[in-house]
Amino acid sequence: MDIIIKNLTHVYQPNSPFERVAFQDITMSITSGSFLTIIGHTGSGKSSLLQHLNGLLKPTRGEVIVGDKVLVAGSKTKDLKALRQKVGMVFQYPEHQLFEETVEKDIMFGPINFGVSTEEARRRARKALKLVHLAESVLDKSPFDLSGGQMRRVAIAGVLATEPEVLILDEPTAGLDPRGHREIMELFVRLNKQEGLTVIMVTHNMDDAALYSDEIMVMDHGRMVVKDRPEKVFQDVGYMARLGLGLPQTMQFLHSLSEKTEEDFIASLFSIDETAAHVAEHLLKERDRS
Amino acid sequence: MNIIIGQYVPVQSVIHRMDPRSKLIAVFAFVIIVFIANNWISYAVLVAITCVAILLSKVPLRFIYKGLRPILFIIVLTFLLNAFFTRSGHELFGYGWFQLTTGGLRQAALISIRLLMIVISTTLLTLTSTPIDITDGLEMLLGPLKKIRFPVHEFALMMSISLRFIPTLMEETEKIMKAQTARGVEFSSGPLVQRVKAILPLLIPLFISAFRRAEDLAMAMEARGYRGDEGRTKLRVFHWGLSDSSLLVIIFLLIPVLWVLRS
Repeated sequence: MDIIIKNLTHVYQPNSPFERVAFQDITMSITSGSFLTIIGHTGSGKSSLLQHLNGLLKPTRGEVIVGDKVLVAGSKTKDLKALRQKVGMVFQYPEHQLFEETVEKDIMFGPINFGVSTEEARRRARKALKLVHLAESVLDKSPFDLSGGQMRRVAIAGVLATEPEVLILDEPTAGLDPRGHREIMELFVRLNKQEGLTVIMVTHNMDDAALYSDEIMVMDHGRMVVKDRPEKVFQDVGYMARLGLGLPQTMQFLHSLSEKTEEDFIASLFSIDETAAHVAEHLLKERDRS
Repeated sequence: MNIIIGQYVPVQSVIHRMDPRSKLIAVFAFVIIVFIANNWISYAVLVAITCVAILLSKVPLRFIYKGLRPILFIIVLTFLLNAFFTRSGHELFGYGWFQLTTGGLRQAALISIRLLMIVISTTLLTLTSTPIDITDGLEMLLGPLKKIRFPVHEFALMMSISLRFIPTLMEETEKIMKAQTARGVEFSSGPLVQRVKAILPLLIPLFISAFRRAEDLAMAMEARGYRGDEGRTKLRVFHWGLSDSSLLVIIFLLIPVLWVLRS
């Protein structure tokens, strides 16, 4: 399901003293099955943009096209529910939305709202639980008896159980420990690569952005300033710094190393293995030369 | 969304600078005194005093109107009820059981003015004093009740904490509503039964987060050395000035004046 955004602008509380432009004039397209990461510092309009993709916010100007659904400024869109079923959304701290007595019921809540039968919802709950790597034994537990990381997984399973084609993630790893962080990110990559879900993620973590996404979109003061492949985005270090954004750790390391040794190690590499191989190769060459 | 009737408007004025204690006493007394008036002259005195207070406060009129809006409906309703159900004086208009009399109109007008005066004076209090000032003032005024073991300090603290958390909880509500909407809940459309059912997935997470917040807040307060009322000093000390004394004198002079004007 391709997503097309045309000249989209959103203004909060228009024509009032509290009027505030969330973002303006954004035009872009997201191909089906791709992994897009949106970065930009707090208040740059990232979350507001995400909320247009499943009709939680309506465009002030411009339009959003998700598959065959069109959201246009000033007109009521019918059947937002169908859109919301296709576009699953995981909010920041999704565990705050849990409310049912058991994990199973909470995961089934979404599918049942979208009109799935109880048996089918139960089947989906088990499937979603497997996807997020939780044992079936938690199904009968109260979600409030679980650990923070487990609660997050249950909440994500609750969204996956609605079987969306597009998955929207708003800082999905905030507040998780390093292991939980890695596992959750691996889950999203797996969903993207194996199940073919389109993933759109907002994050402040440059490592995740660089490592996992096909494309990175940078937002600044409500405008889209860059949308490109990660290697390209992190090339212009000065520009990223001016936007108040950093570099992935691997590239930070290469930059510091170049500074200290006064040699050029800089390359757009994001995984630790690749970076180590790159540095080793460089050093070997050096040794051969001398 | 504007739930609080009359949010503090920071402008410089005599009334803003006054001691919240005097304002609290004055408003409390005024609300009772309003009931002494029962004819046009006495009402005119009350309206005049309210107008002077509004002028002195320098609060733009639209803020006062904004504070009134939520209860405007009640005022209109009391006006209509009084107008049509009071039968005195001569009939102006009649249609069977329906009657509009001069006495009814007079009664309706006076009662509506009374309600307006009460609401405007209390709105003026919240418009010209910060919530913290009001709770601090209330705490000091209720101070004597400590003797009979009424938890005045805790009461005031509860009040200021609840005021402080209204916007936070509103934000939280909006967030959870969005999250559940994304999971297919419909809050604003669909049959009534379903909409009522939709409240549960909103309320439970909201309660849980409120409890979590309360726990965190208590912990943070203790970590910063809070140990209740005992030995606690105030950051802001109130100053009782000439204007405060004059306000109280004027308000209490109103009682005999209105009594004489009353018919």
